[in-house]
Amino acid sequence: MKPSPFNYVNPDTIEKALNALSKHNNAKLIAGGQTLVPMMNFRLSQPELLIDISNISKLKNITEDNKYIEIGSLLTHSNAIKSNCLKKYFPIISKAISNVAHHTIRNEGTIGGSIANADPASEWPLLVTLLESFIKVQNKKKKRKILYKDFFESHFITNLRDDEIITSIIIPKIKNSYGWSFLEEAQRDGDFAVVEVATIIEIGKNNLIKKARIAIGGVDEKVIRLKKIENLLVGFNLSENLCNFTKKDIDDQINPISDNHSSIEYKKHLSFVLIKKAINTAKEQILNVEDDR
Amino acid sequence: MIDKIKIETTVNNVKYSKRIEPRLLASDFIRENLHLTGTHVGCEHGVCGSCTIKINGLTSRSCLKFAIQLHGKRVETVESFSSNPQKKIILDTFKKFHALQCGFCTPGFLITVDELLQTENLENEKEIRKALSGNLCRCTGYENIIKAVLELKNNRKTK
Repeated sequence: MKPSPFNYVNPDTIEKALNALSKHNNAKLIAGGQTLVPMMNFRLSQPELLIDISNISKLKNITEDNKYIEIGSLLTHSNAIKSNCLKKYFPIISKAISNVAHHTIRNEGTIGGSIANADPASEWPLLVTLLESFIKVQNKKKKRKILYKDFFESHFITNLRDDEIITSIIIPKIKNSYGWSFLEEAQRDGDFAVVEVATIIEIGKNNLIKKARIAIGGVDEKVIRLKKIENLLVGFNLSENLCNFTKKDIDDQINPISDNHSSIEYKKHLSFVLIKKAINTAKEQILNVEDDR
Repeated sequence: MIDKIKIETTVNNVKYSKRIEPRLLASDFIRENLHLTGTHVGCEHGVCGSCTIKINGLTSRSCLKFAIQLHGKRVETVESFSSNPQKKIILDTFKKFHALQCGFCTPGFLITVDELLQTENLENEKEIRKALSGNLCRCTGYENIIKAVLELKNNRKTK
């Protein structure tokens, strides 16, 4: 349980980090290290050069303008939970990220690391997909801004190239008033999710649904959006029954695999139950806010 | 052959300067190089919480850190507890409730509880259990640990 030998550099700017990355073909970036170091301890990952980017202070900020929130890739889960800016525009982030592993892991783990890891049952990929975010990356020569659906490709596989660093995540602000929900089923607190669901229901005049977003993780090769169900909800009044779909409608859109803990059938059942509950939670949230006025 | 690199770090207010290999885990550095064996090594992949330390005031798993990353940082281990009045209360309360059996997991629990008392609400038993879910006790002595944390939380509130 000890990592194999490697060289170590600790650049304090993005440019120096990119320079080191471009020169070596078996280098690995380390930010919080909460996934990489276990992999190295098991020797599943054996980089020859470790580039520690955790001291690049430029990548730790949250900034905003009229349209977007931009989160530096080195923001830790703990700081994301605490951020007043994120709480104000996207309270779902604090709720969802509180489910990432445990307190101590959240002090170290980062949004950039989580997204680069691209676990299909992980919370940041779910949020990035739900919030229709862009991932900003760069190498020595150019910068790219990649939409979430082009970034995540499959289980632990992304569009990120070997010589690129994720620098920030850009989340578009939501103009309409909206309700949201996040639900996760895991074996124990802090465990990997079996299934996780997040929704945002945007409403217009007279409580008519203008746009609905439903993201689900743990049931396919990456976090997916349930477009058919989303489209079904548009135009409905909030007070109506919004769950006019069957289990088969959900089954047709997801593709879970069985593992040691849960069968395909169980994951399909869980998905159906959580999706209905998630839609109704978001709906109740809007209706309750109106009652308080 | 990988060269050793010199690091300087402060552990429990004592400055150390050592030459180490980059692959040396912080947990092994603390135990083998500094001879501070209160930090325990359990799973070595970030699951059990036994090796928890504080780096610049925040809890961290020392088996998921490299010693080289401690360069320039301020580290606290369980050895800092007996000389610090605030932390000593946590030790005494664990003792009062017999919140340990074999004691292997205890250093990790103590460090974690020290942080949780400052950052979390811990309103009830359920919240305490959730907050402590990252520390495993194989004797299953959780009941008394929860009782100790409840008392610590209540005492801090009444002050």
